[in-house]
Amino acid sequence: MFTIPRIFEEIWAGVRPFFIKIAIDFLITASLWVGLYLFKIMANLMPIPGWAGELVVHIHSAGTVAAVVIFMWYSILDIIELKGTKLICWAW
Amino acid sequence: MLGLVSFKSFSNQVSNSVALKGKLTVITFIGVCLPAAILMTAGYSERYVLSGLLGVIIPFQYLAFCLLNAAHRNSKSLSSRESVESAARPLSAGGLQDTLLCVLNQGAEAARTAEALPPLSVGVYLVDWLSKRPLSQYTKTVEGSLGDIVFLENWARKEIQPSGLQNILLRMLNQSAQVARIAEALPPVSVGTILVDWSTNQLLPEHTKTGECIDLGQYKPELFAVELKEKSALEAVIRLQRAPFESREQFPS
Repeated sequence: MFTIPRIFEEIWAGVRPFFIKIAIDFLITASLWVGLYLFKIMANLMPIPGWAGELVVHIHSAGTVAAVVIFMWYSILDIIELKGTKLICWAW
Repeated sequence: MLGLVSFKSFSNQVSNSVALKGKLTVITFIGVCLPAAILMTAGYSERYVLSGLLGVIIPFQYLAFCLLNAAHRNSKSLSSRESVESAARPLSAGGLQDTLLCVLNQGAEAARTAEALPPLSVGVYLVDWLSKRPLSQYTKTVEGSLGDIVFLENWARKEIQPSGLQNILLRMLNQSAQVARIAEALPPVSVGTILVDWSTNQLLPEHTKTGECIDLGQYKPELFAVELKEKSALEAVIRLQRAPFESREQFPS
């Protein structure tokens, strides 16, 4: 019997493993973003003159770009892994 | 020294371990982002540096993983050597048997839960890693609950590469050995396990990466010793031998 809640349940059951993995990836890279953002706030509160200040700005920009790439990379790995896994063994 | 591993193994392990992802993220930040920021501060064009950063991240993570893997393997081999020396005593039944039974049931349950396999669809091999002989005395009580038990023999000596089937075996046997070690202070890697789909009587081919399956068909009612020999890192030649299940001594060596 097809009901709307059942359809959603089935969709959720299929999507759930991917969602969990990608959420974890997001948390890992978001922690990098948050760290960099705090770093930037500190740099704004206590401005650093000269090349050191410039370095801070560049660390922030490089880290942000890297975090996006890392997030995409991990997500792709997870999707490939989950798509290719027919049997999850030893889940404990 | 670097101990290069296959890219497939790298991607599998990264995908399966949150801790590894975290480590690699931090290492990438330190090893790639900081140098890139220094280069940009030194006056290099942001466009080129950031383009380079995009291209370097994945190879850098792979190399970092290889280094971490090599360091982990070195520390492991040291500790296992110490444990082997201390565990030259014979294996005793009792607590270990219960522990292994628990391990089997947990593994089967986890696999069933994950992919809704039919009951008794996962078989497990148990191997005494020190003597490279099947642990027949520990499986008698499992016979009724898990159906046929097939023993995997003689592949313990082979160097296990972290890829494909071997990767899974390594993970399984380490987990099994960890539980068993707690119970009976066995050395690491003293119990081997492997998954078999009992509904089709085949090794689970998607985990072997070789495309080769063991057809247990006609042997199903029996218990066997299975010998697995490597052609190469990923190619396995598997030989089945009929073997009675009366006692450990009757297994072919």
